Amino acid sequence: MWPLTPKMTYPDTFLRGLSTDECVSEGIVSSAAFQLHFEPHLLRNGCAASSVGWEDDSSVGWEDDSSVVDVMMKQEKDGKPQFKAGLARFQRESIDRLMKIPAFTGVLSYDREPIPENPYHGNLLVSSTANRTQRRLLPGVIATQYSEIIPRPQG
Amino acid sequence: MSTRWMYNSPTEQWNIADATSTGRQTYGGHFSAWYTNQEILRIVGSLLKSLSTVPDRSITEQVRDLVNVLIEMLVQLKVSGYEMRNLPPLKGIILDDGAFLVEWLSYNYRVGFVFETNPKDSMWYLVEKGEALDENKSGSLGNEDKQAILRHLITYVASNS
Repeated sequence: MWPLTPKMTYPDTFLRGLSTDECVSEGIVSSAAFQLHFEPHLLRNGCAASSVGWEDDSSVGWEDDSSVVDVMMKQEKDGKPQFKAGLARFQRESIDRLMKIPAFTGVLSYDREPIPENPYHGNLLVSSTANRTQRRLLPGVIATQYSEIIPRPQG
Repeated sequence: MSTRWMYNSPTEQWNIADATSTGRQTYGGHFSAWYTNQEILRIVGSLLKSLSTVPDRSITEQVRDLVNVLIEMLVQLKVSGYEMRNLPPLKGIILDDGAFLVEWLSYNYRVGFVFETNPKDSMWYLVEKGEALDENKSGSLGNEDKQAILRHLITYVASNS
């Protein structure tokens, strides 16, 4: 059913893991960090999940409390830190605003999807009905809304 | 007649209009073509390096066409007295589906170009942060007047950098 109505409560901010150096350019979050993957196994009620970085099995982390930063920084893939370039923080209201503008009404949403290794886990959702222009615009539009980058701790 | 300057990008040779003679004639002062060359290379060099890895000939030709127009506009901007070091560098990346993304990034806005194999599907966008979100602009690069599009975008970037 679309549009999805977020029935759960959500905090004011969420984090996006930055998996590769290409996700950050000149200290700014690149649109490459939000490439959409419309893989069948990711479809949920006709919606594609937008993966964090380049991986299908990671997404946004809702900042219910301060522990989410540590949880995401410790996530690993193939024995190495998954988010090499750190984390990007977003204000949820920026996504809410996006959802209301005519260009993206009915196309964008978000949800929670707690997983064992990350109880804060959730997704940004883009409808599979999004047209080509919307699919090309959304990564850049979303990426522009970040408020800060949290770098990986040294050492 | 203007002298055509050549410089070696990592992968290509590009002609740059010789702004030196124009500068001397218009403003009467020394105008370093080499310096202009380096400034332009700073802005487009990374993009050209990324472009060298793109296997799609149609995409590379589209990007080259756009960069050619962009370089001549940048020279004009320099001649007009604009401080080009304020302009951010262009970045290019190959997307998962083979399209090529070119971005001009700033904290408060971004200018993007997405190049596809079919030129009619290639597009541009200008996105701003915050309350100006609903005024984002975008359009096709297909059969549109690229000079007009770039002039608009360069003016925006120059005004907001």
